[in-house]
Amino acid sequence: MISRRKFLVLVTAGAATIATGKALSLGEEKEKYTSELSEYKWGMVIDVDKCTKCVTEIMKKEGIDDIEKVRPPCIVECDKANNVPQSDKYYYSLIRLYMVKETEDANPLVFPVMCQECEHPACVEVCLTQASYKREDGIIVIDLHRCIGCRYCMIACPYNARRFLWEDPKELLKVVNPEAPVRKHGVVMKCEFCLWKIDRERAENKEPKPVCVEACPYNALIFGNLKDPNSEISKILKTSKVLTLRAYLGTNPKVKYKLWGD
Amino acid sequence: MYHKQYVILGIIVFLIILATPYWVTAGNIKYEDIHKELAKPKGVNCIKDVKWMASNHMELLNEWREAAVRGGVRKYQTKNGVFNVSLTECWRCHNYEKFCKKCHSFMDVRPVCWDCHYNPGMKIPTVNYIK
Ligand code: HEC
Ligand code: HEC
Ligand code: HEC
Repeated sequence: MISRRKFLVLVTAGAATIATGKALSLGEEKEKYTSELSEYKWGMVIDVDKCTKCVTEIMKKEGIDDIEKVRPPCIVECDKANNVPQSDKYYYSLIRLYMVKETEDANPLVFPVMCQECEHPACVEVCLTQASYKREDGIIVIDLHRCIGCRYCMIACPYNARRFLWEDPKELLKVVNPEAPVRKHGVVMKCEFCLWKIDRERAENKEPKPVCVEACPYNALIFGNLKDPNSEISKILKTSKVLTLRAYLGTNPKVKYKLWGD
Repeated sequence: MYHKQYVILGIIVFLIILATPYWVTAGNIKYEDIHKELAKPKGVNCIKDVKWMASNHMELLNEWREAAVRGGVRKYQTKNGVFNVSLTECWRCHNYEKFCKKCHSFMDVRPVCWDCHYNPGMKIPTVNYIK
């Protein structure tokens, strides 16, 4: 008869062997996907003077009073490229224009506000399913495969940068960009610096540029890698004064606003 | 045990009912049957070899989903070449209605992916932003 002590030793040893064997074979099977995101930190600088000029010109030319109805090239192209539907009932565009006056009689300034890609994002903090998260390159992404549409993130966001899809985009879209997600009703969307585009361009060794940056006729949006000291954006940040929106909240956005000319 | 014969009979009946789905479809669904009817893909090779793709493409797509969205990986190298890590990549060579959908309805699989992802069955004109 085998002693209890011996029995226990044998059982434990057996279990340990199986566990290590399994762990080793699993490690072999799993394929390696090497991510290069840690080399990047994407940011954007927006020239408010140029935006103000562009938007006030459009308003004057087309006789529009309501700033929400103005559609400069960046918004038009962004909507089309990111499969953002147009609806009479809701404002879905990922960029929103705000008109601000420093004093009562000052000339108004126009701020295009999209997701500010915070260093300390409140939306990620509250997300129940970890669908919203900060990628290694600093972009806040919604993994729609996990989004349950609870809209906590929209409440948390201090910049009003997120939109909830009340309607099915497939019924509202007239053209669709197959490379970007079409999405469905009942999920949240936001600006992700055209993730599908900049990731692909990076993989192909081209200079990554979101669609709005390419669409702007005045070169008012500067996009680039904050970790690279020689990128255009890093140089601008070194020499110019820039503004971050709602800086007192400590979210530390990576989208900056440049005022007061050069 | 009381009423031994009834208990054992009951267990046997239960197991038979539990297994009916297997009995009903056993031998009915054969991959070879549908394989011949699928539209011929463009190109010479799939991402990996055909047998592997037929049984593992859903695993591959799930892996890709994770790699692309979380890791930013957009290129995938196999011995058959370099592929874009995207569901849209399949449409370069495959017909949706006559290939994917045909096999899926035969196998009674209903992927939810096309709720959000473009497929050529949508019949909406396309624009392209990646040059
Ligand atoms: C470069 C062209 C190409 C691309 C891209 C491609 N395939 Fe294929 N695929 C083929 C070819 C060629 C075959 C082989 C058909 C044959 O030999 O019967 C094939 C076979 C398959 C099969 C097996 C079909 C069968 O008859 O058993 C599946 C499943 C499949 N592909 C899925 C996919 C999926 C999913 C994607 C997208 C992630 C994809 N393929 C992308 C060319 C391609
Ligand atoms: C030879 C038959 C066959 C072909 C061809 C085929 N599939 Fe499938 N596919 C299946 C089967 C069977 C399953 C279900 C596997 C399971 O449930 O584990 C499946 C599952 C899937 C899933 C996962 C669904 C889920 O809910 O997880 C996706 C995504 C998918 N297929 C995409 C494609 C695409 C894209 C193509 C065409 C390019 C394609 N399949 C062509 C047989 C096929
Ligand atoms: C709720 C909407 C939604 C559903 C449903 C969905 N996806 Fe996605 N998927 C997305 C979004 C959003 C992205 C991010 C797009 C990007 O970054 O390029 C994405 C990206 C992906 C990618 C990588 C990039 C690309 O362009 O394809 C893969 C692969 C993918 N999904 C696979 C799947 C599969 C497989 C299914 C079905 C089992 C599925 N997805 C269902 C929304 C969805």
